[in-house]
Amino acid sequence: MASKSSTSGSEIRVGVDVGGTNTDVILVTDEDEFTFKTPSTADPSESTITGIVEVCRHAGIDPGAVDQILHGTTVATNALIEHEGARTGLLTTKGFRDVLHIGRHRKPHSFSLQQTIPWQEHPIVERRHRKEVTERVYPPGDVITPLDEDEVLEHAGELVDDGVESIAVCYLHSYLNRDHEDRTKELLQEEFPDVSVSTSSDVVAQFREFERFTTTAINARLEPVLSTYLNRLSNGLADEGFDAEVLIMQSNGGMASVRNVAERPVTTLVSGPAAGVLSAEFEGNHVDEPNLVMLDMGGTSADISVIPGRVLERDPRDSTVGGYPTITPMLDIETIGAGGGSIAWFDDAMGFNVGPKSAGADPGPACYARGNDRPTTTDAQVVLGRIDPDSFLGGDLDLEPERSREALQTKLCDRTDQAQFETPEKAALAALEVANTNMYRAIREQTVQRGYDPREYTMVAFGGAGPMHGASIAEKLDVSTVLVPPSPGIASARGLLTGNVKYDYQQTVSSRLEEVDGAFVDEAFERLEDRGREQLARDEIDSSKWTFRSSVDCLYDGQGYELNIDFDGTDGDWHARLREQFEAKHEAEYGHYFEDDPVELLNVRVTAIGDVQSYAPPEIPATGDLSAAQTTESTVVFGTADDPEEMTVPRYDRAKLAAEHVIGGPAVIDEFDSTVVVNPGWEATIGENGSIKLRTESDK
Amino acid sequence: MTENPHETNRTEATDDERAETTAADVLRERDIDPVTMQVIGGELDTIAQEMGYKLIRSSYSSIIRESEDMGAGIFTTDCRELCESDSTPMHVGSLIGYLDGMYETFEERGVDREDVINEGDVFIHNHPHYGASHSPDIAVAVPIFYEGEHIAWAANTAHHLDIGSATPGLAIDLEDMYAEGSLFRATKVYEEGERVDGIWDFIEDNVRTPREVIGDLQAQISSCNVGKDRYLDLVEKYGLEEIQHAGEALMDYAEALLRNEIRTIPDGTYYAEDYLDDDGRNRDVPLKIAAEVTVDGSDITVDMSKSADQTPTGYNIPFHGSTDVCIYFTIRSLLMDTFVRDEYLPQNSGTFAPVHPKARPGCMFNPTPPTSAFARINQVDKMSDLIIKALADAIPERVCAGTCGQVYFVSYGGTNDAGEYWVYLEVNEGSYGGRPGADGLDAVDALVHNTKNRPVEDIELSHPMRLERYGLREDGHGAGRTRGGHGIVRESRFLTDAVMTMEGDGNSYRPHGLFGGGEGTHGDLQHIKADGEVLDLHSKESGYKFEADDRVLIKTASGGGYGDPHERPADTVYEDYLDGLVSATDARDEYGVVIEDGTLDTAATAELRGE
Repeated sequence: MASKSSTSGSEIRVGVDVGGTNTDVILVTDEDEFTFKTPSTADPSESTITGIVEVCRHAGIDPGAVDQILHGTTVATNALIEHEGARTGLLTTKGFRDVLHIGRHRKPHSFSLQQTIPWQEHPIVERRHRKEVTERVYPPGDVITPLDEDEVLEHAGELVDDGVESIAVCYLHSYLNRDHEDRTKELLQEEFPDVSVSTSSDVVAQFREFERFTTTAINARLEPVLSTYLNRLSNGLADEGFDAEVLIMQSNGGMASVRNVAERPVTTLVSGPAAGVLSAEFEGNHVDEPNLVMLDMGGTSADISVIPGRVLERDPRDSTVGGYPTITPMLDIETIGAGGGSIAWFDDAMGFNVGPKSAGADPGPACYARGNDRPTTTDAQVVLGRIDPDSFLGGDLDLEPERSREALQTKLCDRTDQAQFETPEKAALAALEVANTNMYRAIREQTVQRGYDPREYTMVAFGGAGPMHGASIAEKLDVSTVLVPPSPGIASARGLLTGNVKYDYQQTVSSRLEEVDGAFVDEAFERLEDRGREQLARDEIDSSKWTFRSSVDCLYDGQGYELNIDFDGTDGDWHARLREQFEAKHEAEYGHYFEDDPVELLNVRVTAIGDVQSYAPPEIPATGDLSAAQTTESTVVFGTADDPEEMTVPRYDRAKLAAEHVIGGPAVIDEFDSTVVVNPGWEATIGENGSIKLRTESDK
Repeated sequence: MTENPHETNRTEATDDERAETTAADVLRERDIDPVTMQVIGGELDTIAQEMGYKLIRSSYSSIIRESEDMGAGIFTTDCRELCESDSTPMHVGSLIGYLDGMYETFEERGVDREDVINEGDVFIHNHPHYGASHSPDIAVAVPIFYEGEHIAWAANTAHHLDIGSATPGLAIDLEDMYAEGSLFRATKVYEEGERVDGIWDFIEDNVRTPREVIGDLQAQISSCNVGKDRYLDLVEKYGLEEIQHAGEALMDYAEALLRNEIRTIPDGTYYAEDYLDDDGRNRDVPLKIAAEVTVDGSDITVDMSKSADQTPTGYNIPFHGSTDVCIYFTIRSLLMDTFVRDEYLPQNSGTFAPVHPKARPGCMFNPTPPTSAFARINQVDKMSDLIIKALADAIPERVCAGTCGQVYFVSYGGTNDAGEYWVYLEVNEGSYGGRPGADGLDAVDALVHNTKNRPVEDIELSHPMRLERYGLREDGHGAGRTRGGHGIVRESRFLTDAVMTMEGDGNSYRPHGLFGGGEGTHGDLQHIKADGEVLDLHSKESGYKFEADDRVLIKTASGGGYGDPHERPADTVYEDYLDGLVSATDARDEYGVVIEDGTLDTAATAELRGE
């Protein structure tokens, strides 16, 4: 990598993001950009390779000339959600075999007698494969019972005899003292070299055993799956003549080498969505807007993320995937059930709902005519005239708009026993209002509740449906600017090109702040940075491109939820300084702080970053007459369900728009994989890189 | 102190005409469009969730921050609930009782509400005979004013580590309510924005863990202030009238949804009874507990009057805030199971309207002052279990077989070298009985509570205790077509001298089976002394002493079976055998499944089962 990134001027890089429906590919050279979309295949390495091969062919580039392939993958995520993976065993502290089964003893549903619980219904490790080992560590890290090595080997032998391919080693308090886990791993690797081993202190050295054990067991279960996939991918690419370096997007928004990711599949669980966040961040930075709200709305769901100057990580205690807690660092992305396929429906008591039921991409909206006759938000957009049925997906998919109208009419207007809408248009406006409100609320939870004022934010809207809804949601939030990147349907693939290599390290300290010695903290940071340096060197990234970010987690002694604070060193009265920063954050987050209560320093954290990205979007020409880009005029309905407003609006072909073109709303901009709706009162300006900036007229 | 003032109102509100009204009719009468209702309903829900989130995140005691034993919401000025956070169900709706109790207090004191409730006030309240769920659950209530008018309440409750009762943390063998510790009735801790120092000093001087209690009260106040600000934002945005109108419509809507479901149960009176262990003082005197459920059209009445008289100890259940809340919970879980259904049922007072809790004054579910009513969680668990049992024949597809019907709620405490108290409250989870479509849940906080356990690593970092064992019980479950869930076994060692108050039950009864399923296992408690001597403990112990290196062993009940065990697929029984949850002997005796030398014998099984 070092040699190639030094010649970044002529670098050829490919980003490939595998989604549930489509595999999106983007290839960039220093002059050009090429995109390609292909349906995802059951074995995702097939569509990944097909996509890369096709985009190269399209660009006229020889496979051997590609320098870097950046990949967003859902292989690990799908395996977890579909309860697949290797037969996995667990070695754990004697007396604690069922930590994985009991969890936090809380039911997911408070009001339900019939519910099932993910970790009980589909255990990551079956009880018969959970074995107890005599050993015990007790705070502050003392070994009070030595490790019984014979027992380790005996149990591991039983597991291997029963077909176990991967073993998770999870001992209590290993975040304070990892010796027993390390020794167990060593023994297993000596005796059973074919078995993969994940230790909890390696995967995520944080206290709270259920969450740490589960994360580790998931890692163990997925390791053989992801390794096999990555091997297949590497071999397939080699067969096609590629020798590019392959980097994988992790949940934390950083790229990692294939070798590293193969051992840490649990760090890829939100790989694709994380690339979307990077894409939003890139778009914003490109136009000097640091405070951003991402809205990535696809067929079944919308991903929302707030970027207050930099991407945020999720509180590990709120992180779950497929119902299982996973506490490795992941970007803060909230997914809600609002997408182009979300169904509008009346319940038995006349409550009007949009989602979470979804027709997805298959059978899809009623207008796809593939067997769904219930109205979706896409059908609402069709009836309101915003989606042009003839140019949808470049005309690849024939829409039947009369089916949209019929679905709205029969399900939302004709039912005599319930409240009804007078016309399909009114029903469509109502459905969009409810869907938009759901997204608006989710964004508000991520901003207002955490002390961020959305009025100071710019929205970045993408995904197939995001650019249709962006301005309407922005109006609710008092957000005055919405950015729509070029080809919004493949924004996540583009985001891959903007990612840096990134690794997270942390160490639990768990001491009263005033009792912590500065030298001790310096040493802890140094040790974590060393691990980062080692890893970045192993990835062959030039040391001039390394940066390290230091932070600490603090809380009042006795609390249970820590706050993360950037750390600015141990010079001067750092105790007092850190305390002040902590109090300020506590007040911002919760509305109060305590002047006299003791503060605990819980963790020190280091993020090691290798700057490998060199993406500069190609500029589009600033020439041409706007009228040449206009394709037609059509009737589009705006307004509210109470007061629909039919308007005749111009439609433009985005591909023909030039930089600095300005389009006053109402208008519609059509493109291959999306539709941009310019609401009345809004104005669209085309940027030099082809992105569209929507602004309310009051803010021009 | 009046008896159940709201019960009468609720009954009157449900005449025949109302019962026949459909949800659609109600909303048409309200003349509110479905979009506005959905939008404002969502806004209210968001406010309640944020109040809960802020409280949990910034609190000190593990019973709030880890176990989430709290609730928060917005209420009308006539004490009806507009929204509530999704927290442990025992709190859902209980705040209505607190606010009623505050109003009753004002009335008794002869003060006008208009005079006593002012902008900037913060009230605390926890009196068990004035609407509190029980006294350790202290409510904080902040009045919301708009243009000088009191328009709503932001309020929350949270379980506090200690309120200065006779024994640290929890208490059972109490003479009367005065022994519960500190009782507050509509006490102002802020008056028109000014901190009332005297009351804060009083709290600091009268509880064993002042830093936690004061820190948690402060977190409760911040949470209420957030609720107040957000509600005012909503009023600014939509207008007061629109919000109040939507609030009424949402309550009507929730009520209509529930009434639709009650109508599906055949009219009639259903009954179930059982016995609790004892009252914590008079050993071996079991207490009768009886649930009579009457379904009449779209109304359902649950009458607990045939249960035992109130006890002379703290083992009683406040009618408002506990008896009623648990009845609402049980009916809602049976009829509006959120796992099965996907419409959105807003949480508000409408969900209580068609449900009518009853208990004669003087019975343990409606104690009269000055009786103590501190310890009530086991009784409401068992009540919930009996309501489900009573309705089993009427709605077999919606019930489950006997749940644990008990919980070992424990406080451990002691003092450190500096003489400062540590107190740790532990909820020992139970299990569910078999269900129509699935086995009973293993090791979960059952029924009306839904707390989280505290991580073993967190306990050991904080207190002089060491866990020796925490896992599933392996000594049996109620056999059935679907089996009962497994309770837990938990063994804790004390590293210093310590004192325990155990609020438990169910050492003497087993969860019932249904439709041919077998009974589950009862709970067990033991004290294992450092020298190995084993003492059996009662399900209730007040201020029980341990010495350093002693252990306490807790086994919670495993649930009852649902349906004929012989109908359980032999493969499934064999899976349980491989997982150590059924022995080869029990497989043969209870399930008719033959396992020889670790292998399933299909032919012998078929023969034994007479197939």
